[in-house]
Amino acid sequence: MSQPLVIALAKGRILEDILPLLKKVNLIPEDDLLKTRKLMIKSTDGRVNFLLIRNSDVCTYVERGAADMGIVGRDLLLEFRPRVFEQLDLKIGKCRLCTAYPKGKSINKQQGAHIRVATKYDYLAQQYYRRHGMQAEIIHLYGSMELAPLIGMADYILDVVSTGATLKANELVEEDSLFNISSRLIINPASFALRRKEIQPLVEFFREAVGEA
Amino acid sequence: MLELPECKPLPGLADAFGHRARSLRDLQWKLLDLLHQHDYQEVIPPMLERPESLQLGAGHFLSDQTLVLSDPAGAGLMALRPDITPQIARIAATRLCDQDILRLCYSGQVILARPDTCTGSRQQWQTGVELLGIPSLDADIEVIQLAALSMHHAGFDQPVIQIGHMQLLQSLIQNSQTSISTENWLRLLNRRSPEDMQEALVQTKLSSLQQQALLEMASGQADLAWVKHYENQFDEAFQHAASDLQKLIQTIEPTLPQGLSIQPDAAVTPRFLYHTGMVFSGYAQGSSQALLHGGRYDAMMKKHGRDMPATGFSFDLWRWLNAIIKEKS
Repeated sequence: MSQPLVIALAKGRILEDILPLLKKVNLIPEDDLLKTRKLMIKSTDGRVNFLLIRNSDVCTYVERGAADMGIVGRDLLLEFRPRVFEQLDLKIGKCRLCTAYPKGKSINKQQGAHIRVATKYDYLAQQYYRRHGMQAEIIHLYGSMELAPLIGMADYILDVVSTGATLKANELVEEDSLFNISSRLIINPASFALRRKEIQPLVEFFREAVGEA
Repeated sequence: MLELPECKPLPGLADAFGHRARSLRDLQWKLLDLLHQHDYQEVIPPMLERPESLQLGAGHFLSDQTLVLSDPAGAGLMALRPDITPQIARIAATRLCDQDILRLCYSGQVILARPDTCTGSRQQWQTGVELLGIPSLDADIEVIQLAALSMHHAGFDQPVIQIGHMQLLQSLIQNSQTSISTENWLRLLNRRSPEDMQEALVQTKLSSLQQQALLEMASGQADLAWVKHYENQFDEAFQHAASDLQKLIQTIEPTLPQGLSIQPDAAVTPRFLYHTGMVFSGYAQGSSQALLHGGRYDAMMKKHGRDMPATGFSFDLWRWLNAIIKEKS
């Protein structure tokens, strides 16, 4: 039997959406992924090893070939632009990448205006504001972006928004929607070339499973 | 006690010494020896070149990767080569004009202006061959066979060479009536994302058959069956490219060293955007990205003043050594 395929998965809430998909493609982890403290878990049939890692590390593991495949949000693919194949939109973890500002404090964003933007998407923010002819000071934060405009550290945030409830609770107004986001099945290009006979049918199983959902 | 001078390494650059230096040199000689055995004559161009010479026929894609410096001795601007192929084109067009067919090989350091995103490295030890003067499929077959042999000779276990043809994409996107450039179509294919391809196709006026073929390319389904299926469905250039690709596969497959395989894939994209015909990439265990790139680049020679067909391939010795060590471990 050949080496198991390695699939990188993000810990956290998104796992709840991934698990039914894995079940549909008949990849059953030996341990409960939502409860285990292990970082590497085999599938019951031994075909696959799952890696449980931080969401933002999935791209790195797959790009560097430490994992053959992975499941990651499109927001991170757009931000980090890893050299991986984005074979399938799994249509889970749906949200959108938006800009937002504090209620009643909209800035006149004329050409050349200077604004401060709190975000964890530095590249996307720079691209977006440059495209609109604005000088944006990017303030990199790792979480709780909504706080930055409330305490006057930033004029805008650029972040993923799901229901909009957090924005509303912090009195922020959604301004512009940049991208629709969902999770994607990504594949390392070398793995795709070297293990195509195993990977391609698996991608098709995932495609069918997404179609049924 | 002597005070040591502060010595900060430059980002993306590394020294080689001891066993590693010896291994690199051994690998270089082993591969150059193989290329010499196949009648490829070595060319040793300088590290620096005039910027405009490096960009002739290579476009801005290469100039984005070029470090330029000013010569205090008055020669003007000089560029550190990020790729040796344009230098070979210059030499073939201006120095070796008395020969109709040129088989040239080289091995030298190149410096990239931007570090490779995966390895963080700005240096490559580019080694490769260029076969100039043969317009037919014979030249493509020869260089792909030599590429396969080089990977085998270096000690890679079960390498895979993916082969495509740039004309297949060109024929499919012509008359698309959009602002999407060829470069952006290639970026889309590079990501093999059917969803993003679908999003781009909505902006075009391509026929449903063209759209379907492009979607299948992005889905990783553009194999030999795909080539056969679409062979007679688009323009004449597509038909020729599809026919050439099939002939090439049929010819090469029986000649491959044991353990090496080829994968026809119309979605193979070149490393630099000057390729116009057959393109190919090599993969093996030990490396997460392609280890070898090659293809036909006829248009570049014309820009250098000598209208001459050209094809070739190259690889980075550093990356090959890393992959071989990783594979063995």
